Amino acid sequence: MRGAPLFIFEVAVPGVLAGGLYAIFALGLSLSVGVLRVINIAHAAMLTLAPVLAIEYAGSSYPGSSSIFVVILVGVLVGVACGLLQELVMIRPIRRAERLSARQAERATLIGSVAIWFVLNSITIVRTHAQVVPFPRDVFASSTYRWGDLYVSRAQLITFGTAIVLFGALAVVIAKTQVGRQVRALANDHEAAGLIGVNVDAYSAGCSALAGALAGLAGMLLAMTLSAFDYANGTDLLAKGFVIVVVGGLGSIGGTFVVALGLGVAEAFLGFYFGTQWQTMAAFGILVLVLMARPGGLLGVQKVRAV
Amino acid sequence: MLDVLRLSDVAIDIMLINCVLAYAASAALSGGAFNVAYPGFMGVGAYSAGILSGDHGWHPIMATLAGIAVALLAALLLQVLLRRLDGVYLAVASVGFVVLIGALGRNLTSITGGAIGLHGFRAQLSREELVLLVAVIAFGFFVFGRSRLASLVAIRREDPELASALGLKVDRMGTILVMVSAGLGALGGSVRAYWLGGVSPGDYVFTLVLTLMAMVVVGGVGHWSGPLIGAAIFTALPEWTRDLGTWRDIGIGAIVLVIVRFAPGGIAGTFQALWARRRMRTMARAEGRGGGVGAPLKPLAAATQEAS
Amino acid sequence: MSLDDVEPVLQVHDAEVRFGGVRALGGVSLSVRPGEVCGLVGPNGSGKSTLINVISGFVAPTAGRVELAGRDITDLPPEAIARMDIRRTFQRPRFNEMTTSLENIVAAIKYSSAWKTDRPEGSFFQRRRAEEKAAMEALDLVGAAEFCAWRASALSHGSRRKVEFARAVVGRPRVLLLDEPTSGVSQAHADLMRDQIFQQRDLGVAVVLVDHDLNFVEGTCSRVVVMDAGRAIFEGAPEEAFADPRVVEAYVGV
Repeated sequence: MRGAPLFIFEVAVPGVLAGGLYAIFALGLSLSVGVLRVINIAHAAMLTLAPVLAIEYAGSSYPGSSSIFVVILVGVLVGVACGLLQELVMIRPIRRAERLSARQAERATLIGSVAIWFVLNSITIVRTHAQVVPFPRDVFASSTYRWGDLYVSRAQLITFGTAIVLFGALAVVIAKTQVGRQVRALANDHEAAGLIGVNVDAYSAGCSALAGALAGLAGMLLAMTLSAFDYANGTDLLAKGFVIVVVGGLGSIGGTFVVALGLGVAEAFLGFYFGTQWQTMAAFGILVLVLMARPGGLLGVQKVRAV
Repeated sequence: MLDVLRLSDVAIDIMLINCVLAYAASAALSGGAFNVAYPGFMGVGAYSAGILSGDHGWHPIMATLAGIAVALLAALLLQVLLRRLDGVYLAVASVGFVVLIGALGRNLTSITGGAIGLHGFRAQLSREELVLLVAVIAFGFFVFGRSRLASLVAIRREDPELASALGLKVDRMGTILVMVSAGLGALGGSVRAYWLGGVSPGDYVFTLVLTLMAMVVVGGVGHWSGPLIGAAIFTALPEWTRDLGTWRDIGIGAIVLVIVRFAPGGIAGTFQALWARRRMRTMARAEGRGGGVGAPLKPLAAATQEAS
Repeated sequence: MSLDDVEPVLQVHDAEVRFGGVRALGGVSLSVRPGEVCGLVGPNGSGKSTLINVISGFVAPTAGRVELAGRDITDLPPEAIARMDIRRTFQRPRFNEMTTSLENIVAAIKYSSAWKTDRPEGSFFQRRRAEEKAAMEALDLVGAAEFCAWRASALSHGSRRKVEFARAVVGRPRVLLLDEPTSGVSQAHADLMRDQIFQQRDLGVAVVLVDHDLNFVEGTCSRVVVMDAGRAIFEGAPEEAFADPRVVEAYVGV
């Protein structure tokens, strides 16, 4: 059947590779939502700000500014700084506020995240003068590999490889280590975790920093893939990121990975057969279908209504 | 008076329109459900204005009513899909509706003008008409707020299971709130489109979810004056602080953070609490410590009217 | 005419509840007449609260039936059950923390069918006054009138229990489900609770009382059902219950 090889080259492989980026972004989001219980809107702004500042660094004469590794590291560190900022200025004070009920805290962290998104986004717009920023070619220039009819960009391969390594490592840490156990306890119930001796403040800060790092990393890889960067990239990705997190199951690492790749493939499929305009709808179409069948997401916890 | 406020004519009109939009968002959020589809309904209203008036010459009022009708229908259908969802799931799914409207706007080019949108159908309401519109809506929220049903909606916001244990049909109430949100949203979108004289898919995107939500929460969820306060602040502040550059945005962000942390009832809620506390203190002083058994009903009922 | 001649108003037939692989309730039956106080006791995890949740509509049983005066209410949602004048309290009292105790209690009146049929005369405002008066009276009965204008979040634990009880009775319910009303309160408070429960009983309300304080249960209930591991292991008079070997084993043998 002549259609099949075409499908693989034009749809499946590019889709899966694109999914790698979604996976990294969604992983950070999943951490925030699943463990920290914050609907982390600011995640999108961290994704955007990191490459902007990293590219500035690359253009400067600071040490290592011509090494791609250092530049990526700068981006990741920007992400970490943003994550910690959010933790110290918003998440921790609200967690400590006794007067707020659970629902009020939920609302508060959402708006708080929006506020931080607003601030970070403004910084981004100011630094870029609302222009698209090109990724310096002397630091990294993506090239395309070819395998018969299959074209794959170097940046995409790097992204996908990073995603696999990250997810593998995190899955092992969460499942097998002491640290992972404490994170799981935290995800289940903040108060209970605190009672059994988990240092909630420290772990929360750690998760915030890690989520920020992942946002920064995703931003860097995206900028490398696109060879340019626009401050609007963040919000587009945010909506898709939430869909992945929700469909894959809150806090479920394996679920996030699978759904992210699946979304990449679905988008490639829709883009190939129906045109790119409807790609965003792929995400929400999947979401609606899945949520109608299983309101708890594919691999997540089903909510049982009980007092 | 306008000079004292240092707001341009345009800014005041925009503030009034934002009030309508904020009320639409408030209706959806006041029941406690994170249904953030309201920008989608606003888009429906705006596009009705553009398509029916701009392309087919409908009278603005008819086009607006048509837009509201479509939005109400869309809200009903949406609820069928979203009824069983809650929290993050509901938020994300309802964003899908916003994305859908944007996608329809961008892609059904022959009807909606594609990415450029539709233009040239300006029909601005006068300042007085805008004020009247906002006043009517605010009054409606005020009257509803005094009803017993409003207390149950407030309970639904904090604890839906408790609300159902007191007899409130939580799902049906949720649907009603979304429909009110849709109607007001379409109205606001329509008014805005006519005022601007144009509509494009970029007007009703995801970010509008966030800005309106911030207005409602800072102003005070569940309080009739919340959307007014929120819209006023978020329209006026950027105007007043134009010269401060990035610091302005950081400042606004900081203010929002402070309010969210220390005043969960928003600005309106905080004032209400302060007022109630003053009332209680005057009462306690008047009657001696505590009302006690068999205390006269009148002052106590008045106090709780204040607090409700 | 003795209590035995009256038809039961609340009946549970073989209710079973499974959560995943766990059986929280296995074939439990219960029957309460108007004017009867039925106690529901048992060690932790025996399914008492689950049974209350089943009756009040928060948990759908996987098998079995719940009937109110002969009408099948098994699959009804909590709001429908509340509108049929079955009211409850919770293990941990729940309120709208931001409003006053009076506000919280008044909210319970709106969907009470007893109030609907027995609607007080007068204008809209006069009716509202009547509602607030009734709420004040309910607060008065439990000795919490002085807290009427207090925010729910400011109340002590004991006061919260009192206000929750007032909220449950203000709508003149037919069936009252009390989930551990004396947990964490003083003896004086418990005595007050007992008197209030007797008052409801004398008004013809059917009361189901879940509690851990066996003395309180003995002094308040005419009948008691003992549960263990999701099953009812004993039903009868309280004095006999606590002497029954099966009951003793359930409590001690944990």
